[in-house]
Amino acid sequence: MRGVLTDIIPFSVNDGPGIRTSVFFKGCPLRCRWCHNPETQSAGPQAMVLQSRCIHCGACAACPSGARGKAGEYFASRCTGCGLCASLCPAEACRISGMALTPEETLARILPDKPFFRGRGGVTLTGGEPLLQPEFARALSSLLRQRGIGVVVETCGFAPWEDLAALLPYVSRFLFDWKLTDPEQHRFWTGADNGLIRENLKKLHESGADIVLRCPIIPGVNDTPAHFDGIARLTKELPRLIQVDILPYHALGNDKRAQLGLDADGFRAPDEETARRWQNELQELCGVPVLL
Amino acid sequence: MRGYLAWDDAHLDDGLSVEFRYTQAYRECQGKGLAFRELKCLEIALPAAIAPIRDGDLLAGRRMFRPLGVAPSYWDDDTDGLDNVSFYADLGRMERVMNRPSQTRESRDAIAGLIEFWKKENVNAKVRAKFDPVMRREMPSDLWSKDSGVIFGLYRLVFSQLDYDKLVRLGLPGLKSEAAERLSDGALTEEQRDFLRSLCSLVDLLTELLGLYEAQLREKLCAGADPDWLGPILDSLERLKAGPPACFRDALQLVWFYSAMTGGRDFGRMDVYLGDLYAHDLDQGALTKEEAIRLLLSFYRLMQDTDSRDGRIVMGGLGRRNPENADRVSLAIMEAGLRFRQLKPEFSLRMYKGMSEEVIRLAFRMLADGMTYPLLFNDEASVRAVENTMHVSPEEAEQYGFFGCGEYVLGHRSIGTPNDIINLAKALEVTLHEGVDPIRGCPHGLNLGAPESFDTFDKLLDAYKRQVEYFTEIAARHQRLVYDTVSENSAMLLMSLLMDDCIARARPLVSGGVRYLAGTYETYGNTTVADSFTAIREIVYEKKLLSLRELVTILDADFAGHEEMRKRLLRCPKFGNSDPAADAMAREINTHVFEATARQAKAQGLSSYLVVMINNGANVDLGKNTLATADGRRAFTYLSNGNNPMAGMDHEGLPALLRSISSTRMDLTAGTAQNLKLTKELFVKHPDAVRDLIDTAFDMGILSLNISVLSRGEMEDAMAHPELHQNLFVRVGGFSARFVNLDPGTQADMLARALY
Repeated sequence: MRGVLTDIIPFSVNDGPGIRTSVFFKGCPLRCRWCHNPETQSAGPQAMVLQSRCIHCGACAACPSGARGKAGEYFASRCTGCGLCASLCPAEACRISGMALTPEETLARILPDKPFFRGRGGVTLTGGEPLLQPEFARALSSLLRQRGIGVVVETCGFAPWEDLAALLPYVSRFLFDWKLTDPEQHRFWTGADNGLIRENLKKLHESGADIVLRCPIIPGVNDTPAHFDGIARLTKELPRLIQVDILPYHALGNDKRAQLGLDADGFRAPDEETARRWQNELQELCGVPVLL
Repeated sequence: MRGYLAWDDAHLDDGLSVEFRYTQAYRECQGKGLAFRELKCLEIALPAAIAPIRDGDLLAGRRMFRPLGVAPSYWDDDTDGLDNVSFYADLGRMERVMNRPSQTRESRDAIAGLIEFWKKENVNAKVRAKFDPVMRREMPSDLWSKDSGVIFGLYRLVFSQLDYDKLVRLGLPGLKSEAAERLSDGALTEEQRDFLRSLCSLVDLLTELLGLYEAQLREKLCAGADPDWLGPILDSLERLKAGPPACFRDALQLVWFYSAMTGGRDFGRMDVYLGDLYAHDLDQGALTKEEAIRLLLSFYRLMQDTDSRDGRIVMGGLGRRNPENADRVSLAIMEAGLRFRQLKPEFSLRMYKGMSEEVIRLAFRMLADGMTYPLLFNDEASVRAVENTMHVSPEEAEQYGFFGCGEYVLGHRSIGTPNDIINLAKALEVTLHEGVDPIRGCPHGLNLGAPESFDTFDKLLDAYKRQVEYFTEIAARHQRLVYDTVSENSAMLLMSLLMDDCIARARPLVSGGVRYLAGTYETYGNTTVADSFTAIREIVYEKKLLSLRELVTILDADFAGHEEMRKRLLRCPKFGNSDPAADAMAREINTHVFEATARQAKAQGLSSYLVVMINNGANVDLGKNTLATADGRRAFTYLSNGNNPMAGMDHEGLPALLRSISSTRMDLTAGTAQNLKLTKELFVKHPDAVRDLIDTAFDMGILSLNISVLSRGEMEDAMAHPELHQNLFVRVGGFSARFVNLDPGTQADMLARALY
């Protein structure tokens, strides 16, 4: 069994307690328009081209599917992720996002970081959507657990309940995304309805799992009183939620969109003051700590 | 020029009358005993060094530095900050006085004669005069920050940590009694008697100096100064003339006074020697914490105004006789530091398992505040390393102190001054140029063959190692020569009085007095060389993309016309990323120079001779005279620093960086500086992660960490040059990105997120 991952990043401090190594799964059932990890949406490998590093040598034009031009252009829709361009690029402008690893290979890459976890930190499975590769996620979580490494899973919640339930024995905390309260709006901005997500969140809560609600707030999309009320209602309906994390939109994902040959997402990042105002407003409404 | 010397110069009279009297005493006492001659010189120099108290000072003891004197090291600005040891002469300052328009011709001629005399008579000059032909060839210049060369000599007895605990316990009268009692031994030689008598007279001189400060304050009082301000200082000076410190204020006053007179700048285990009186005064209600902090602030201000280097205060650690009291005063020491917010003092914390959490929390607050202090030491591992490298018992090793950027010394028991530096990258450069320094165009080092003769990688590596060994042997001889010359010219009385076992042995500091006469050797460019060898092995010997001769030609041309090759060299594995090949090479290069250095101790009769991989600006200066290197570094740019990766070459994250660093055999050195630059965001938002990071680094055996929280200026520099800051940790929740894979514009944006 192999999982497809985009990266394994050590010393992550914002994705669960302590020092963590984050494992980014490739492939996601949603298509959030503000996604800051756009390379994790598609399930297969794909080329990423950092134009500022390109020396326009033309080596990559050897691409068999014509995805690369002589001056370093990238026609992303033609890319098959074969990796030839990355192997030929002398400037390291081109690389392939997506690597297939067994759970054991993934564990081997994580283990050198174990001394830093110190019982507080651990591994966070994120992405993309870990539950889109449920068997791999389960196998890896089990291996980590056997090594005494705590596992946190960040999920968009759009997955069969059985897959989520199967992770319960191995996972110490879920970072559960809550993007939009209104189902129609949810469908419009992410490509899917939030009914299943809401249902899974409730079931997860009933199961007694530790849950942090993670709420990306995107100006012009969900920075609305209605959505904030929706978040607050959830915290009341689900009293064991640990906290609400606000993830204010940031434009850093546009760098990767450019590398993937995609246009910028067109959203505008809020200033710090606005983000703090959101935090204050939500804190007044919610019954649990709201963190930025 | 440093500010305090400018002030000092303004107070030198045209006739340099003190310097003439000093020189006359020096001449008249030739042959009357070294210690006696030094004492007579101090009797003229020190009273003339007393400077007035300034508004706000709560302690007496401001001093000036005259152009002639005796010091462990006098820093000479005219030579770009070269140290001068023992009897020093600042010829540049004397020349400036000589050339004042107000000078008469007669006075000018007289000063010219004085300068001529001291040109040959200062101890630095005497050391150089004793150079053998090999030393003359390989160490033609001492100007390491300007000239090209593999090794440079330094001239100093810096960083010794005097026994201030003994000073505080015994006071000046107690010290005199100890020396006097030893003097009663009938078996002493005349030389030993001269030394002990001079120590007794030295204490008398110090007592007189306290009286001079008193007289100065009384005069000020008569002129209307506030008695509430000067009264307590006067009382303290009065008490110290008659006995040991009776309170916290007395202890601070005496330690400052003694260090100012000595010209020493390291304060050792301050928490130990201040702890008991601090706790006593607080518990008796004789002192409040706020008053203690104000006194400490005055102490720090005196340090800041008196010199611009060092000033280390050690706190924490194993082997303290009074850990509770020491911790209590540590909190005051650090709180004063938080208010002072200057480059000095250099606070250092010896962290050990089970230590006070309150002390740790305050130390972290200082770091989070961007103070870069305290320097953190892994106490258990440091004790073990000191035990092994300095060949001492665990109990003695527990009394280690450190200086500069964290080099070990045994508190009041060893001299470990780094008196030689080596540019390892230059050693490789002259090896590749057949024993010629390509910058000066003259023979330098061993000619071990043309590049063509190194037909295997191992032959080249062996040649480099031989070259380093050759220079290291010369450096060790230089270290010994400095000690021998100091010993022939001075007793270093002020240091001898407070260093073990000078009184017991009745011998001056470096003439058999100090228990451990050791030495250290500063190495620079270690990682530059290691990464260069990793690249040479891959590009020249494994992939055979070009010959070694061709590579040397490309390096000589600073990659002009060979940018592609430079990129290839840059892409070779680099230290700092937990890459097995790069780390193994660094370990080999480092272990070689560590062991080659340690081997020299026996030959030179030193208790130990050890490498220190430190953290000053010398890597930048030495780089200015080093051609391009095979790691892809451009000509005349900085070399690697301490045991750190080349800037911008570590990009795999902190765990990988720390794994690389910990692969170095730090336990074979007398200290390695490890820099960690963290963002303020990390400290503020994730203090637990910072603690886990430090604990893990120490579990990995890293001996010390120099943690800096990036200042606004550094952060802005990082945003302008993100390529040099690939391992800066700016994390965004859920965001998957390696800094190295982002556009420079996005990198700058990311860094801006951590800019507070």
